[in-house]
Amino acid sequence: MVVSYRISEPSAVFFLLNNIALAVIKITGRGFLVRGAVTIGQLYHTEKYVVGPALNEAYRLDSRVAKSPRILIDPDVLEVARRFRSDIHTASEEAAYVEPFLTVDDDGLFFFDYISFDDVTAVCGGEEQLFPNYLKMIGEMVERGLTHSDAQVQNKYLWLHQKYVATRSSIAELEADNVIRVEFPDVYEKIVALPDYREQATAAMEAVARFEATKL
Amino acid sequence: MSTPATVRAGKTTGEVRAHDHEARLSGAQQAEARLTSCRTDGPACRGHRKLPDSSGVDSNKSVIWGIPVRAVILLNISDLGIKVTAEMSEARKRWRHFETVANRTIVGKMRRRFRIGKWQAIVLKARREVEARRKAPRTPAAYEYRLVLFLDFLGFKELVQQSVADATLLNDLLETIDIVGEIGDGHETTPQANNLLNSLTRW
Repeated sequence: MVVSYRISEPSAVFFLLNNIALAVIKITGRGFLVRGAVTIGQLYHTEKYVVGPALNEAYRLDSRVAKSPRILIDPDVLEVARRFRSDIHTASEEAAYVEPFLTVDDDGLFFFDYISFDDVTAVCGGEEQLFPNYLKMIGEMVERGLTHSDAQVQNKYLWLHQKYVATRSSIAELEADNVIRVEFPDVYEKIVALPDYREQATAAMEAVARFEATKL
Repeated sequence: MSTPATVRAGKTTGEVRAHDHEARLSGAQQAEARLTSCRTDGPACRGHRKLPDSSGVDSNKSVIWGIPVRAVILLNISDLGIKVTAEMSEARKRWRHFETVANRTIVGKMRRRFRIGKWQAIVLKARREVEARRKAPRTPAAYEYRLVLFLDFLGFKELVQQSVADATLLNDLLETIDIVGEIGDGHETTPQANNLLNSLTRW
């Protein structure tokens, strides 16, 4: 699926990233995962045709680089956001609105984090009370993926498992007087009670290692 | 062709483009990029008809009562019994009537000319319109700098295979594809945020 914006539109970067973020969270909440890439470049996009180097690059990022269920974001979008800002924002303000959508992953690439508590609630406006069920849904997908018969599939879900565990831990390790624990004690309790799927992850890592060994 | 700037409560400039069903990808992408979203370029999203710039009663060169000159030259207005001096306030009401009458007149002329039935004439008219569109000169294509999102469902083939035996999954999948199709619809954050919050209640 391809969606494109003309970059000269005011706040185009913010609107696209915001829409993507909301859509990805909705999709994940329904039990599906997506992978993709956002980039900038030359594109010819009409009702009938979509072609151009930017599409080639987005496709390459999606199929060759992203690998896991994540949406990579070209950091150049920040410069575009500064340049084609809203009339009521300065360049710095516009960039500040866009930056929260970009998270640096372990491999140094920028992606949209649809798993962490802060990104889902603070950045995208999801309700805190509903977050435990959302994370539970992700956990169930992680479990299914880690126990998949195909090691390549398991490998993709290991990334999601890592993010899931990190999110769960970030809440579980909060101090007793932390605002989240004080204001949302039931949220805290529900998240702490979620399984960490450690055994499934260990088994999946072994399966992936065996698969990688057979390729050598 | 760019969509007019009337989509979603006047908020967008209509420059958001989806990968429509007929859109073609180049090379290797074509085989894998089966999914398409269709949104703002669809006829349903084009908003109300834009009134012509020149819509005065005296301005019958470019428009008569808001009827594009293209439509006018197809027909002999006097044959339709519509007075050119009608008040502008009547223009909108008359437009729908005009379209109906115009269609009937064209079909009627075809029936007389080719000595054929009503439905044959309608089909012939439709074919001629399609043919005319095909023959229309293509505007020179040019790249423009755009933000591009390429999106893929994880394990899509497997999901589709499972959906053969699971109608609920098929419906869930289609609804989810609709969510992707909504990306870029409108520039207002609040309604979409509300949609998100509504969807959260399903978790």
